[in-house]
Amino acid sequence: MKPSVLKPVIVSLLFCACARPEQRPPRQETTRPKEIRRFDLIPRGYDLNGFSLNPEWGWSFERHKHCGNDQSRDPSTCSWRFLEDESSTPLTRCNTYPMSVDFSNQWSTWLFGVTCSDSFLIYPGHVNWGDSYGGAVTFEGTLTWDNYASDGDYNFVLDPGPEGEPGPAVLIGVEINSGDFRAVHSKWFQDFKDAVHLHTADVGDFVGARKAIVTGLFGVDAEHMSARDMSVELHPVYAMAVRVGDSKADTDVWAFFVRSRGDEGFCSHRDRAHAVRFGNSKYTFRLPLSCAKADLKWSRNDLCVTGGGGAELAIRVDQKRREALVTISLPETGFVDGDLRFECTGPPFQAAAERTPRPVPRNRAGADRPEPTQHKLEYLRLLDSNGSEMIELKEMVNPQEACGTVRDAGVDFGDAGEFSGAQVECDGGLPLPFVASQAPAVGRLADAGPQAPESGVVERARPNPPEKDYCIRRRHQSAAARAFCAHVNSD
Amino acid sequence: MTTPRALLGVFAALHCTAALADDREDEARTAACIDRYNTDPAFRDAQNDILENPALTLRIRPVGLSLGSADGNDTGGSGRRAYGGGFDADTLITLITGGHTRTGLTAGISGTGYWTPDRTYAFGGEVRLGIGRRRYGVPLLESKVLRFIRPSKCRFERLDLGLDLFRWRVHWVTNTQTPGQPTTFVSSIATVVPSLRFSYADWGWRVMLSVTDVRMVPSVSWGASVGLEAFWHLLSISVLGGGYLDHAYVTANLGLRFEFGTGLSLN
Repeated sequence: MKPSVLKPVIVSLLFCACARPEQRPPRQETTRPKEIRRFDLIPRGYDLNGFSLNPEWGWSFERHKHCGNDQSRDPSTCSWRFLEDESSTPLTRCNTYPMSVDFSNQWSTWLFGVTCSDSFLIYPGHVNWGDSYGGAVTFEGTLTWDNYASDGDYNFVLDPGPEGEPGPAVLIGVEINSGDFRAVHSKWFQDFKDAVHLHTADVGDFVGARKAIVTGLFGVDAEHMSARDMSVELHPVYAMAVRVGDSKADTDVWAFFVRSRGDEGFCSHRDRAHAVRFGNSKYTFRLPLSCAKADLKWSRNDLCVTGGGGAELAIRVDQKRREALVTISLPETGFVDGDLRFECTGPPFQAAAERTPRPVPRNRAGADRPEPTQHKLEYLRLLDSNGSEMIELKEMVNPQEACGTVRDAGVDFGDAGEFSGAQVECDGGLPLPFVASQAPAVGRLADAGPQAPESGVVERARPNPPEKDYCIRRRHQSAAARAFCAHVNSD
Repeated sequence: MTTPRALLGVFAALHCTAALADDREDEARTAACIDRYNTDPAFRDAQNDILENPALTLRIRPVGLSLGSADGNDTGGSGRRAYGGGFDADTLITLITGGHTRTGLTAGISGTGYWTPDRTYAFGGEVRLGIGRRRYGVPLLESKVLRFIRPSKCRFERLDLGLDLFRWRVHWVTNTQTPGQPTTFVSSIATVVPSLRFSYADWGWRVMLSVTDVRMVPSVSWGASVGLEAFWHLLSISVLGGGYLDHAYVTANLGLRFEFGTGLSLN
């Protein structure tokens, strides 16, 4: 290389050396501010991992407790805090602990302003209750299907119900990148993928309305928020358990997955993964069991770990409380999933009545809407006269990836511990956003004692949805694939 | 600067831009800047130069120098200098408003006059119709180069993305050397001409590219052109370079730039 060419290259490298990714140090609040602000998250408790459980917004808390402080739900008439050293503002603050952001870095946003640019508050991407909250919160509720989005995300809707929602009648979007789900092993999740991509069933009917526990990064996609609807979502999802069995049967089956990193899809950094480190590197679900006979016992697990490293799983079944604590020790980049099957025998048991799920529309906008992405996928089946291309697509949807062993770290029967809700009063100050993990030691899993979760970001290429990889591989191989891929890539 | 070095400089700026995308602290400051606009009336007022949605952008360019042939037409001939000026008037008629964006139809007209001493004079104009999108906000992923030029911790930007679907340019060129001074009619049409304009509080720049410039009269020829404009307060400097298959041209203009009124809207 000529010296005249070297100089600008060196200069450019020096420029860019100053702009490497920064990791914020993990943050844990130790003091409790007195004032509750309208978009602070007020936990109704903490899950066993230390994350805020079923939190509600400050304005909702103030309203139902009749506290008399800021009860406005309008996100445009208060000042959002993003920095520790934020300067003063003429308006009331929206939040106490700084929000985390993940804005679009796509050229169509920063160069042309044609994507992710329609937020009424100008934020070109995601605004999250992130690092300040340990990187995630947990909601429990009823899960229904929304749609398969054009960015390759599976979109669900979670209804936490009146006792768990962030605000009155607020539904929560649950978004999972289909590319992260390629190697999923759980039968229920595989059937779900087949329904989405291969049209083996109507996805809305398949998912139905199921009890679910979801831990993820809680935030808003500012493109979709308004003064009336924050359009909140859990995105990415780090852990999800879905009851897939029939509660009247003699088995109680939960499909689950746990991982520690994921991205926020469109209108975010496509090369950034949000990462959470669970306390003690373990995640624990508290699964309610509801089968209709008195004696509970663990039956068997069908488990898989992918993404490197080994995993361990331990279970405690609490006959009295009819709960199971499922603790998964997972590698840093691992993805653990499977189906957990509990059997019940003996005399009939009348479980406590569960709340009947509210009728939830198929999407958060309040009405059924067509599934444009799925309609596009159906095109391949129409084009594929001999079925060979559908076989190719199926290989992309469910690749035969080696499944690592999840070591059985033991099952015991004992006390799962009582769930302790947070008792927050008007003058009690703002509760801590997260605490150290509270899961009891289960089975033979190593336990270093309570540790708080941490969060940050890592560089990671976003895995492709199955159709994209299918098109990369097949679009020049057949007329059907060529036509399908042109159709899928069109708007 | 040689072409390879200039290109490397551009790549360096773009690369820095991409690297900044990973800077979370910087991203949080961008968010805080947006919040400042959303909540601080004094700051918001200070940004009004950018955040106004001008009904009319008028550029008067009384001083112009053209090498080759003026404005791409046949006034000068190769190597001749032409002097002149003109004006441009553009508007965006909003059809769709979303958040801090305006999307709609763009329309514009220009008028020019040029004189090549002892050879020709020309006058004419241009009509432009297209679609456009205007966005207000904090510049995302702004490069270190931009920050070095104009340091700011909280900068607002108006981004105008335009796509002219139809540009029709006509000129009448009179040859003063020929007895009887015959006038030649020149007409060209361009389609699909993208442009980008970034406006900040007191300065900005614009780039335009046309690769479908077809001269139809007096002879048919295909052409292309690229335009650059920088403005600071009212002062505007612009350069238009391009060529047809039979000749090339470059035109530089110095002028004044005004923005009038608040936006026209049909929604």
